[in-house]
Amino acid sequence: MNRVMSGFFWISLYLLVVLVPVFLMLIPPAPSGRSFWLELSVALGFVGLTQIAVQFVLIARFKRITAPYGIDIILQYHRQIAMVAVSLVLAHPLIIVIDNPSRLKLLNPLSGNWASRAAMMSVLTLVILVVSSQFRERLKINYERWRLLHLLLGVAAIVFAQLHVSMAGLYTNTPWKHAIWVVTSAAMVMLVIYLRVLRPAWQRNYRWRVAEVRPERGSTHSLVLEPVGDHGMRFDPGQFAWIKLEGSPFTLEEHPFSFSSSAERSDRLEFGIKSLGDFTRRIGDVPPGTRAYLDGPHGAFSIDRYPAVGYVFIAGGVGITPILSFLRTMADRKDHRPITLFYADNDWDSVAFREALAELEEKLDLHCVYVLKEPAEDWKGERGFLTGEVLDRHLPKEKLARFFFICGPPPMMTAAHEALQERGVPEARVHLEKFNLA
Amino acid sequence: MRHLVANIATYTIAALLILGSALFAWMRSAQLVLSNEYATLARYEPTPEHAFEWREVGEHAYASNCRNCHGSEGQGWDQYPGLQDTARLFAAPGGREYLVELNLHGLTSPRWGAPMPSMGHLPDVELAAVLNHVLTHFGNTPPTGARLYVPADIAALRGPKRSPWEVNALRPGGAEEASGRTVN
Repeated sequence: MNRVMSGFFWISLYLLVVLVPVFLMLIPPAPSGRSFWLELSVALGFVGLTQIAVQFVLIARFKRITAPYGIDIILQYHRQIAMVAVSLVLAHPLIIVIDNPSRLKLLNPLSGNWASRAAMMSVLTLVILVVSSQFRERLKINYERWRLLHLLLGVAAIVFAQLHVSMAGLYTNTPWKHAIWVVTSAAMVMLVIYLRVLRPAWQRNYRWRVAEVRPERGSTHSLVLEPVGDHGMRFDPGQFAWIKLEGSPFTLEEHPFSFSSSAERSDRLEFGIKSLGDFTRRIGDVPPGTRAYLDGPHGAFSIDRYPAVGYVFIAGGVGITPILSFLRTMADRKDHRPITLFYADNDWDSVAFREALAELEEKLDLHCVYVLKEPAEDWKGERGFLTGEVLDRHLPKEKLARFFFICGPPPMMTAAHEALQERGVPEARVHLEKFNLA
Repeated sequence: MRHLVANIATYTIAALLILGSALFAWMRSAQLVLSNEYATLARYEPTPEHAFEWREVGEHAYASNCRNCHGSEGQGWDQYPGLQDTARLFAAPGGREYLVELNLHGLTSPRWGAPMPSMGHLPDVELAAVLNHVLTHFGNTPPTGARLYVPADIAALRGPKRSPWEVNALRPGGAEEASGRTVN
């Protein structure tokens, strides 16, 4: 199945999964109909609930689901559709109360019933869930704590919502209709158990060890992993994996890093890691032999997904890592398609992997353009930011036939992307890797 | 490119979900056909009043409008009262009017968590018929010799809008007392 078909398949499946259980409620014996607004409110509540259930599947990192889109898209979608789902869920009581303001009584936990109390608990957990996710950094919740909180709130939200459906009970008036909802909600709770207990347990059989942590320029390190036992990881150049270092596979602390090694080797993996946060600052101190677990490969930022006659790679800082993987893979494959690399960094001494790139320039049809923000006096190359003018000076004439891959800090990616749009590069030929997965 | 397509997909999905919900709501509310079809009801309009044929329309109206909350046997559930006490209220002084008022304007009381919505949108024929249906079912027996409702009784009480709390004050035997709360 090609990717477009596969994409349509999953979107249709999503709509089907969300809407079909709601429409099954119409099969007789159905309760007698009520006014349009009341029924709309009920439908929105049900649609919101099934969407929340699907959220559990989206974040499960099932490769068959994520492959056609790239997992970064799936996570972006998870965040966006969460807002849609929560809005629909909030519209449900809102419409009911507007339809008949006397129903405000149901919102008072003392005068309402257990169905309305369960509903309010569910809405409350959802609101906390959204706020803690949207404002995680401002609330100073660290990532691992937030993940645990998110997990628990998600489970609580679906359990309370299911209790509400079961106790309100109007539409679940036959055992099989009731079963649809109970089974779905229970399945999502089971999925959480699978993801957090069973899958990590299975991961234990696929252990990796740190072979080496090699310091590179620009406070960057190459983390080299080798399998313990007879397994490997086949990946496409440019993809990434979540790494759990030290500790057990059950930990919630894991970090996504791009492969920087050649995709032709599945038994010795390298990751380029720059000191930016708490975890990455410590990476240089990780001793060889340290245990590691991998979840991957993930991601759709790959030259193998988008074959072209030639490429232009644009990297900013540590954004070079997936691009290094492109180049190393092409070198191993003796792939001589023309490549232009724009690489923006601070100064010549902090240009990570520049020696490796110099070697690759000899093996490949590769032209490297370094753009330094604060270069030394005697620097003869490009200075300042990577602007459209810099691109104009170095882009090959047949630039429109090439595919562009951009990876770096968000402002730099936006600027480069806009510069390419202004130069008439078709949107379908520009590929971005956004790093803000968390 | 992927990100742009993904955004479009999100909006499309959101729109289709809301559309789907609206379709669901329309299909459900369209079941209230009888209530809106005055033409169908016209043939039940009593020409001499005593010839009011309410049984069929009463049963149907109960199923469409009341059964959801009051139950198929008028037993009620959770925050919705049972209807076994209706004949007693009907017999009490002012009860005859009270039952009509609470249907026309709805009812909110401290006795029950869920309010009774207004049924004033139903035609007189249907309201009279459904009241008669309740008064002769679910263990209710109208007092001997009492005249059941005819559409003109409903029409006579259609007046300025009352609040559901005002209706509660009309309840025979006091508005606060929790009589009739026999089924929960």
